Amino acid sequence: MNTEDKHNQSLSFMGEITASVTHELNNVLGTIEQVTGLIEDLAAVDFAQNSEIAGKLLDVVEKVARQSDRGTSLIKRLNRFAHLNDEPFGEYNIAELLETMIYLSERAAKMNKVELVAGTIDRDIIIGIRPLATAKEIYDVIKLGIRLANPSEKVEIDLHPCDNGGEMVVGFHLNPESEVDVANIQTNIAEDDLPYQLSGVGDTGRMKITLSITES
Amino acid sequence: MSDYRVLLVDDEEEFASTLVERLAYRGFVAQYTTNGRDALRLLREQTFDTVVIDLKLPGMSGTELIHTIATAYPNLPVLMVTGHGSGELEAGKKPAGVTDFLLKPIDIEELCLKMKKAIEDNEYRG
Repeated sequence: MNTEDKHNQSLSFMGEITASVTHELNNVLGTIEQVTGLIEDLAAVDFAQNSEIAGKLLDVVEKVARQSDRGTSLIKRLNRFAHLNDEPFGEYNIAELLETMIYLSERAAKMNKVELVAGTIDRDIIIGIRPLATAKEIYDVIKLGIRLANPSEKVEIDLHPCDNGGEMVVGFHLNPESEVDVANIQTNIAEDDLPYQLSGVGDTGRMKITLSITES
Repeated sequence: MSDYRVLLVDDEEEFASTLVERLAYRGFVAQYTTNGRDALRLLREQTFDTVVIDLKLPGMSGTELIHTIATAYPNLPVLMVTGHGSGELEAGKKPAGVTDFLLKPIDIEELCLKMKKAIEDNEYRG
């Protein structure tokens, strides 16, 4: 077995375990959702008798339901991510892949007090890619944007069609308090032959990171 | 109130038992079982208007159960429930023997609508 096969096997193992656990977690959340739904049904019956307790009960249920929805969305995305290496190469809708990665990057954004926003996302770009490798490139670009961005402004992510695929653009204002050397980062990107570019947007004071996602 | 008789097959017992109660509030007479073997036994012993089957069942899989029901009870509408990540299902393609399908997490109102439609279309066809 060569190194690449071993690597793929490890990734498949990771994906299999994550997919299995997210499936179970989804069942847990699905049950919570039905139980809160049942409480709502019961409270609705009590409402007919103007029960004050029923009203309070519904407030609690709403909180649980909100958390359950949040958990369900997270698991859905994580499960999609876990299945990325099922087929090392395949036709993918890169808008869906991008949205999954934006969602899964939200905690990293939150830790840096940055808000990620999906801007204009073209939904019809379906190309043959190595999904896990592409997901990693997308994540790297988002993470760089999060690291450099001014926390008081949003980081906006767009996806437009280009030759043989799509162009992802992460737009943001630099964090004025960080002492980031943009020129040094640009040099590192070029020297490491990374698949994205960091540049300024005219005289707007905005920066953008551009990643071309094309047929593998 | 519809009084339609529904059989749920889902190995998550608390999920299934709760869903049965919620369906009762919506006029369905629902029962549940957690495995395919018991589902086939219940189908032999009682009459149901529709069956709702979770694709991921321990022992006899949901797919095997659907195939067996489609052969033994060709006029019984079968709804399949599956998790996300099923690309074909998300694209709207349903497997043989399945009248309709739902993606998890289940929305109770969507389930009720789909069950009613499946049963009433079936009655209409005779």
